[in-house]
Amino acid sequence: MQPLGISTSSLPNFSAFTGAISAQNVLAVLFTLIFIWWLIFTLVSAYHLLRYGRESWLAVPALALHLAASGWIFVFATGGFH
Amino acid sequence: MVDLQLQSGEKILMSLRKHPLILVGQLIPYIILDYLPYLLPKIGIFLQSINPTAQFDYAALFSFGNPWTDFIIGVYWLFVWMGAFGVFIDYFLDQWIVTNERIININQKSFWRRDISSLFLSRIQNVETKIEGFFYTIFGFGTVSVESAGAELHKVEMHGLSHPNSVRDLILREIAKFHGSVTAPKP
Repeated sequence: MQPLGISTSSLPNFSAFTGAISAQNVLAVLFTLIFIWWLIFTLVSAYHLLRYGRESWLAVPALALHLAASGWIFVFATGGFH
Repeated sequence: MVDLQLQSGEKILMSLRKHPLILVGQLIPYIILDYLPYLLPKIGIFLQSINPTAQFDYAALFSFGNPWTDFIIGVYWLFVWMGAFGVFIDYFLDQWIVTNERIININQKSFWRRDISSLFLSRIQNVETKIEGFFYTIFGFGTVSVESAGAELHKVEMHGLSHPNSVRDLILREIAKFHGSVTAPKP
């Protein structure tokens, strides 16, 4: 008589998935999500500043400052992993 | 202004924003938030001192130079910066424009909401200035309120303007010109 039990071959194999999770992968996904969020914010800001504030001299320098400050922060945040 | 079409013969007399000190005041919380990460190494040293036998090196973990700490602080700074820049955009895009025919109130309420309303000089019933509070009195900024006549009350409040009395006089002069009156305040 065949013993009762669950055949392990019918269960999904998660080892490949869990083996792929590493600090680098988590970091890459996290960084991508943050970058997408920042990109949407920057595009909307640029749209508003250039469309509605274009007559002011302040719009372009403000946008340049935003890009410079954000760039510095991105370099600072990821600099340690290089 | 792309979203603002002036009528024929209409001229912009004054374009107004809030006093820059109001922007500075709104940015102070972000400046404080910006400096908070500099306390982290001190917290690390404190944790290390109260628990010197800990297996974890708190001082090294909470110090600048640790890649993960730098990453978390960098992300934190990015969001603080975006918050501060959002405050600037809100300040920059809120505007009042006084023309020879109307007062245009442009209010950027959020990233996805921008309200524009007009109050025609021919309908204005009352113009009021208010300067109250220590900073408002010292730095000379205040609120100009303009109310319309008619069945439906329409009020435009311009908060935090520099030289509110000059703005009120300009509006009163333009109203007087509009009605052909001689009682307008002299420039």
